[in-house]
Amino acid sequence: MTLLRRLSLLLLLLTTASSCGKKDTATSGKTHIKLVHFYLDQKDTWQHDVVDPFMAAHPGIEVEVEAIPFGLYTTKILSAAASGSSVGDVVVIDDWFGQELFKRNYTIPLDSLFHRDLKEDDFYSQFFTVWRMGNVANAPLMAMPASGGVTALFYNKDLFDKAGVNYPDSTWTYADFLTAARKLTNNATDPHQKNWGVLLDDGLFTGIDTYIYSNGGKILSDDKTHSAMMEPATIAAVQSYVDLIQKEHVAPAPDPSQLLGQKFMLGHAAMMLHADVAKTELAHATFKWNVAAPPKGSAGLFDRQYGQAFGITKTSEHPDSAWELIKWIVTVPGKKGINELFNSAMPLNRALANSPEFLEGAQKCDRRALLDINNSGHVFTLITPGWQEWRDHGFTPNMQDMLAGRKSVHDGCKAIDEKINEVLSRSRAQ
Amino acid sequence: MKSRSAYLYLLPVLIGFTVFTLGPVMASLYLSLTHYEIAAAPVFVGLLNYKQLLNEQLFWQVVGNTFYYAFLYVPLSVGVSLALALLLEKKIRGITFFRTVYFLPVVTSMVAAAIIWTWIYNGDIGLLNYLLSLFGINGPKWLQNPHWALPAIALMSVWKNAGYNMMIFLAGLANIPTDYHEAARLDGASSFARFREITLPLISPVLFFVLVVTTIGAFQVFEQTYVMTNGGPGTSTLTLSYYIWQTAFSFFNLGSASALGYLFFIIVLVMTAIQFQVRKRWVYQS
Repeated sequence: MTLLRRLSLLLLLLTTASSCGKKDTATSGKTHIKLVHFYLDQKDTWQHDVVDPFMAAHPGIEVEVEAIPFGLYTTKILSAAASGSSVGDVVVIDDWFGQELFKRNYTIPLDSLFHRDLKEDDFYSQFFTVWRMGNVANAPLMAMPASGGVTALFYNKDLFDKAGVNYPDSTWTYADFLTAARKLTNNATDPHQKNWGVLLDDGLFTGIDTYIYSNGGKILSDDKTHSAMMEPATIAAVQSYVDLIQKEHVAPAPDPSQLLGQKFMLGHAAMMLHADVAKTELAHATFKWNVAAPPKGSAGLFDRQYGQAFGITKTSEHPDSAWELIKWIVTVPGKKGINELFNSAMPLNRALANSPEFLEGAQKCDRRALLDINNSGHVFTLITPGWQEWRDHGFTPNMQDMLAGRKSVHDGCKAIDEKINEVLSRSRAQ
Repeated sequence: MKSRSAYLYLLPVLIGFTVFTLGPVMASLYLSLTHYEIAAAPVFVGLLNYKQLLNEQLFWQVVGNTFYYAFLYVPLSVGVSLALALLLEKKIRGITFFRTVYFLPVVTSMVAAAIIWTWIYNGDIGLLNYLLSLFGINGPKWLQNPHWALPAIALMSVWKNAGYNMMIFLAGLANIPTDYHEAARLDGASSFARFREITLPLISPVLFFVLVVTTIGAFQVFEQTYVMTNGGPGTSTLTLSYYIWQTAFSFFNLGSASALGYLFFIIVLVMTAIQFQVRKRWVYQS
């Protein structure tokens, strides 16, 4: 037998073998759909709490689940969007790459399905815009919002008790925040004994964006086409943030070699503004802690949002079944409640968010305080084309320099301003 | 017939080389001439990526950081490795134990080592500043200070990698005939004179190899800056490899990252070519 014949035979065998593994709707009598997500740590919870009950309630639909590590997930789904290839029927989408998929119409609009089966009032719909085409209100809804995270004020109850300071609440302003931070900062010179009133970080998504917007400043213009870093209100807000370290000495200078929030996690900072996912990291903290809404600034309470949604890919052959699964995910709590499903972020369905399963969930903190943000505050997003570049090469390094006193606030804001405008204008040109 | 069989045997290697080496190298050359953001098909833009990078202030700062790191790391690493090899070359009891001890950091995970060194360098509670304080020295906040961060990373890298070069030097030293040293000793040559006139010339080919490899390794520094500083404070530890990775897998700008990769390749090529040119002047050829 020639080599060519042997190779042909091998190919034939491989093809047959691969066909055997495929789910066939016609033979099983069920519609087969595939859910792809990146909740690797919660893979079993997703299977037992969501997928199995869904299949029991929908005997005609069979769901295959593929959990992919987050780093690979983004590359895989963005590549699939570029080539138009299929990764599954239902995909979870993070807000920071959602628009990349939407502008390529990789997911289908869900407005008609949404309005047929669900009510907008049943959801925290201020989180919806980021999931609409082009990040514009009233544009087509390209993915069904499922969870939303905000920046929260974390506080160490033990340190508050020790200093005799009242815990923060929803009435707090940044003046109250500063007064408390002064009282909570001790004068110890021994680093092991030193406690700081507040821990400030230098990058986006750790509180500074929330601080700037609440105090009347802006990082981006309202239409997100250019920087607003040089607006006087922004410079004033950044200056007051820097002053907490340089003038008030209630916060340590940021340390890029430390993990975000490390000093708080180790019990050496009484407060920190941080994305509320830190709840998960604090699950094993050795001190008592809680969360509150961030203080109000001169402009009120503005809080940067992040979140996840579920989309139906344009390659799906069963969009109706895929929608049934999405509807189930965003409205039906699992056996363990909704705590674990979205990395402990808040569900956007009001009933789920206000359910005892969520509010009295795994992390012992006042989740109702986070709901207050949705009821009384404004949420905003900073996602733009190329946002990672202006964050990592503009915002973060210059904030580090300003917070450490190596650069004046004016010069730092100017450098950030130039970088943001450079990236955004380059993105527009492309 | 024989030649056909030969090609058949070579086929797995050729396929592997084409698919995993030549293919990606050629593909990245093409991608460096495109605007490619992973979520859309590449668009040919000619030399635009190169032009933008060469006009970017940050690129030159990153190149400067990388050269500075290499300038600190290469002489120190080669010097320490050679000194260790000279010490551990002696045939005394228990020497294998010491060789193993000095080689241990090489087999340690770089990420684990970097995390440990982050704690050692901690400005408030780190071991290094504690040791310095015993001598009345108030150590800086190593990784928070833009002037100290890169030297601190270079020092950690020397600790991590010196054992590897030490083994290469030990092999080189073992090849020097003992007669030369004995003859010199009889003639009354001091230890330093014997090192300068015998050891150094005879291990110069090994020294050259170590220099070239260490220089290329220095330009590729990545894990240390990724784990210890994320390129900060500011952009003081942003190096070329980290910059390429960030551009490709954080910003998803694969066209620009590919162009950076080729610029990186050119820099390393030029540096290596210079080393080969200078080689003739100091490497001893028997």
